[in-house]
Amino acid sequence: MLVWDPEGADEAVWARLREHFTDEQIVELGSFVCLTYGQQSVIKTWAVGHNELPGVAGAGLAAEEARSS
Amino acid sequence: MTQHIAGTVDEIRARVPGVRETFAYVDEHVLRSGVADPHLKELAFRYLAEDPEVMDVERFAGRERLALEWAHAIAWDANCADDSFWERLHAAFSEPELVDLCCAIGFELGQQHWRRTIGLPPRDETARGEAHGRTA
Repeated sequence: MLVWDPEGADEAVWARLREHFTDEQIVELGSFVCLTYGQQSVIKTWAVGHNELPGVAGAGLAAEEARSS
Repeated sequence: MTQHIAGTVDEIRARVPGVRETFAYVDEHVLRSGVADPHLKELAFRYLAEDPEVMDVERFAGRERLALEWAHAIAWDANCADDSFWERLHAAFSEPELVDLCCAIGFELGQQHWRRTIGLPPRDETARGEAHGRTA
């Protein structure tokens, strides 16, 4: 939704988010998606895909996930 | 438009210290400074926010036109960034300028979408007219 339909995040969507997350978690998760979306959009114009940048495998993942990727 | 989390953008981010610090760093080092021309960044940020005054790229030329075309490619159609486009970019900008400009556009794109999910306008109207496209 943040990527393809930001205005679609209506009252119902926010009510569902708050069933599962605190506002702090929503802020953090949304910020992570916003940073990842923006920079993935940039590297697409370089003809580079997610996780294809040399030397930064696992970039954007939590530390544990990055170590196992 | 309903705002789903109360406060200014800075107050919302401050709920999570790491988020506040990350965006403060990006704001200071990429959005409000850097090696690329601040005017070109501001122009691209307005294009991302679909400001009608800058959406007709035919009205622009040179580096302004390239900055707008790149904003379009990053936001809506990466296929526009083909070899001929990259030749034009390299003819007009140094590589550090290219890195700075495109990363700024990417950060701004994500921020504008995040703001819209919260029920805020893509850009802070009071930021318009400031020298460097501050969005919060």
